[in-house]
Amino acid sequence: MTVFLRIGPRPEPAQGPPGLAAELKVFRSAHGAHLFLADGSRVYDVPPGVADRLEGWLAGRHSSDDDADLARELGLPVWEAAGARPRYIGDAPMEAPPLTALSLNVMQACNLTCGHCYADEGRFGGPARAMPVATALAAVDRLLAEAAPGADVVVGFMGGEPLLARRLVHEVVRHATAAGQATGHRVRFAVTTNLTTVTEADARLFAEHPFTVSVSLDGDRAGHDALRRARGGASAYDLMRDGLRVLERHGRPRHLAARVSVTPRTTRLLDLLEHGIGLGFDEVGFAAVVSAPDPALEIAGDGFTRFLDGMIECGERALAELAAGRPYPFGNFQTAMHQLHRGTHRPYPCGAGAGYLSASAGGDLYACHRLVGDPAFAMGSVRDGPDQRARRRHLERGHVDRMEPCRGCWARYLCGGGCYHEVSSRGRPGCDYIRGWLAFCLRAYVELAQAVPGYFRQPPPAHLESPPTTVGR
Amino acid sequence: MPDQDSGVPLGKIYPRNLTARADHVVRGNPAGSRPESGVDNCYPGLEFDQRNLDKAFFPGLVVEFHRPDGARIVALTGGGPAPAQGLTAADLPLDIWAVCGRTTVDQGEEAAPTIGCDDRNGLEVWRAVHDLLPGTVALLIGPGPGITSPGSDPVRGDLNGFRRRGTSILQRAPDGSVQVGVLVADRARYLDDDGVIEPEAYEPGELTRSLCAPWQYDFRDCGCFYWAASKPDIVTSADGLHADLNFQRRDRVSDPPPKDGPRLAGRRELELDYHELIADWGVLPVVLNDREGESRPAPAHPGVEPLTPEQVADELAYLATVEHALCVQYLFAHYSLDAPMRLPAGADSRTRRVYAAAQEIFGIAIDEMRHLRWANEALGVLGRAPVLGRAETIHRQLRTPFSLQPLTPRQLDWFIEVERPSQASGGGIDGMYVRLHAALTGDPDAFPEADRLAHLIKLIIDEGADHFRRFTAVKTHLAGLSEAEYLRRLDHKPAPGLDTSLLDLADQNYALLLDALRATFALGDAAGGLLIEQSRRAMFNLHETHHALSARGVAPRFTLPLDPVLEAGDSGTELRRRVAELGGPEQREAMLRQEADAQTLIAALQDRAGG
Repeated sequence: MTVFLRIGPRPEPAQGPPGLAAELKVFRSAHGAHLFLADGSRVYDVPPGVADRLEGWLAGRHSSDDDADLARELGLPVWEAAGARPRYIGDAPMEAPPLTALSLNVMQACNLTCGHCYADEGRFGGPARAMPVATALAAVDRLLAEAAPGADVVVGFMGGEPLLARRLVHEVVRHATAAGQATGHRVRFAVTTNLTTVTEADARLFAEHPFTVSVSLDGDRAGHDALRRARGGASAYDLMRDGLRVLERHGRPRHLAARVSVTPRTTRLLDLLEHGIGLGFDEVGFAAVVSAPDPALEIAGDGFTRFLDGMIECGERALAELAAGRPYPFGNFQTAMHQLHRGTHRPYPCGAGAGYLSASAGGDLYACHRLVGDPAFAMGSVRDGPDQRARRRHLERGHVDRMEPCRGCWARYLCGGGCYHEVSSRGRPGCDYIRGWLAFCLRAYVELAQAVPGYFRQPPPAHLESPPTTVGR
Repeated sequence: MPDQDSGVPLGKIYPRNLTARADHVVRGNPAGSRPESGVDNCYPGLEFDQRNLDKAFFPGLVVEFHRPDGARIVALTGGGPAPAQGLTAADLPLDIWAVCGRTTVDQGEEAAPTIGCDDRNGLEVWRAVHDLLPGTVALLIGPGPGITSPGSDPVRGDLNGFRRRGTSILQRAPDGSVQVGVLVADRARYLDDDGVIEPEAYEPGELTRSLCAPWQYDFRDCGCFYWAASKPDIVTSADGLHADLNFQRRDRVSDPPPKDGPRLAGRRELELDYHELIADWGVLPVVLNDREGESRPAPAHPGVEPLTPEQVADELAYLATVEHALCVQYLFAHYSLDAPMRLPAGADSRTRRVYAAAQEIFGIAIDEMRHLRWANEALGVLGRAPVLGRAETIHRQLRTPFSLQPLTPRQLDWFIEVERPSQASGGGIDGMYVRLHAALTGDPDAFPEADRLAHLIKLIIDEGADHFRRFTAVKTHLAGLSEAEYLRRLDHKPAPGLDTSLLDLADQNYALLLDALRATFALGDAAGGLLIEQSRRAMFNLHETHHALSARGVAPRFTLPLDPVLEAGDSGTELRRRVAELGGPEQREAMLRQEADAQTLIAALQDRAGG
């Protein structure tokens, strides 16, 4: 999820910075030695001697004064050591910004039964419910009322399977478009669907409005069907392919993405990736299942190592293809490349509770669609509006510089501290995976920029632009 | 030197992604900036006025673009096609009516545009001229301003035909006056082979002559969007009653003030013209939040009684003793701070701050030493002997006695007060110099080498302003620290032993230093580097001894010697031996070095005394 954050004023840090180890990462590419600075996600080329010196230094323990002396001696443009400018990110929590995105949990039921679904067939652990139309329309009005004047906003449809609430989805899109015109907001839409029930009318709706459609994909026919069980024994994969054909024939959305939830049973990622690309998706992306109703389907321990290996294999392929000037829509990689190029830095993992909220079927607001029903992340209601105090508390709590061990990690402003839902249920089992993936991406960024400088001069793919166009993970 | 592995120069860190690049401060214009890549008539940093660069764009002609009515030929330099056409200085002024030449590299010769100067002011003609590429250029010239000329009509718009044929013509009326002419030549170049502005083509000051300074007329021409600092354009009157006034209006007495006009042409006529702006720029008030302050006339030249060279020399002789006294007072204040001579690695924040304050003051003391030297240099020019006495009173009006005081907040405030810049004559220390400067520049013929003297005095005045700022910085460094946290407790009467030996040695070093300076100043320009370098070492040795003392909690005493060392006899060797015996290894090493320095210096002084 890409969410633009508005950072509040910067007070003095409550505690001193944890030292150079938390501020920088030395890495190497085919083009020499490089330095990544956490503050501002800045990437530099450095002489190998400087890189060696820094790596040796980081292996030991040093006082902050010693760190500062070294930084000054090497001319590193880091925080107060350079004495030049304030940090990009202070430890002040972000002020709750105007809303930019709201997802509607329109149908807490699904026509498939997937063991790894965090939504637990849309019940999110509770009884399945459908959102009344009046609640959905009120939620849209609430989003428009809470948005900054003239800002683009995103309405997301979540489930269960949101297309089971087809009539509501269509009505909300019509209403939101008209209401947005009246209030001066351009409204975009996002839906996460298994695509097994998509109709011609749905396809036209997706094509006629600015829609990002994310389709759940778990593999080729066998892999997909092994995890996605359609009721009555039908092939969920075949139904999904039928859905793709409906889209091709009756209207293709502006952006059509495949989302692969990776479990310990997922087969080789590169095969899956190429399979997805072969199906004609604009983008294929992976997400590890960290928290699932069936613990056997959660990635853990060595599973992360295998996941990282698989991701890097896909990344290497993407790098080779893109470096040769050929498109290769590996979503995680493309996102990382553009974010590294722009130096995206944020003290939160996503916009949940900040610019993004999720409305439950009953009209309550939560920090995100994965946290619906969790009282710790309750954020008000559609009727009464967002609970600003709850949002503020959430943003105070969630600032990555206030969390251990995050505040000592060089990757914290890229990662943001991990998905709130996963952290609250499983903790942070995947930190090494995240660092490993980002370290690979840093190297790949330099090599890609060197091979195809023009790659970053092109506007990034539409789905990487602000504001959030995808509200699903 | 590039690193062999990466191609990255050693020690260089290069920004790669967007945030790193945004964070990278580029000092100055990009390396690719060229004189001709300026923004309109001003170079990116307002370094010069490009209209001056193009004044000689056509061989043999000098063209003035700074005119509202077009571009005028104001002089002939003898080259180009003009002489062959019989054009002489008596025919001038003539104006440019049209210009033709290639302006883009993809233009063929046949497509070179003709730019008529009708309805163009000088700046607009210059823009067309500046765009001309190297190669053949044709000018249509005639009597009368270009802005009201017929443009290229006299040649029926076919100036390019003349250009391509290389045909120059001049048509005169029966009375011999020029009716119209076409001159064709290659555009003159203004860059040399290295791409640098051709030094032979321009006189010093010629390129900047019309450039932004309040007393120069570009202030009039530059819009507020252009001005390097914030130049007001539309303002409210000082009493707040009248809005939307023209800041540069000439009429500054009418009530109500004249309303501003909406059009440029009408506005210009109501504004101070070039001459008025140069003469009376002081009537323009300070503007804050779009509101004018009260107008103040430009400060008059300090009104002082003319001083004779004798009086100037007397004053300088006193000021030299003041510089000496200030230098010593500042040094004492430096030693009173609880900071080491050199900052050790890993020093804590308090030590770093006190050290920063101490270094600032030490730097100012060095400046005062330099002022002492310059004052003596000026005395030398005026035929006086060197002055190395030390004033008993620092400030004539305040009658502050010389004394060695630690850097308490009160003492710091006094230092700031002493160094406060003063344009009034005779006020603070620099005010005294202002008075001398006024005397020197007011009647330069009365003084030998008046320019050099004025320059020396000006240097001292300018550094004084910097001292004010630096003492204020000392205050910032020490802010929040109590006296107990940054001051040493200095004992004025230590027990006999190492401390008293060090004190005696410091006195000896001080005496030797004054001897060395006296000899150096007496030699003046003939001193060469040797004696100065030896004096510098004597200074360092004195400084080192004082640091050793103050670190031990003993106050340096700066005893003024009664007689020169050579006459009083040198007791230094014995003192250094004693200090070496009583002190630790560091002091033994320092004493060995100091002994060598002292003996070398004494030998040089004896040589000079003997010679």
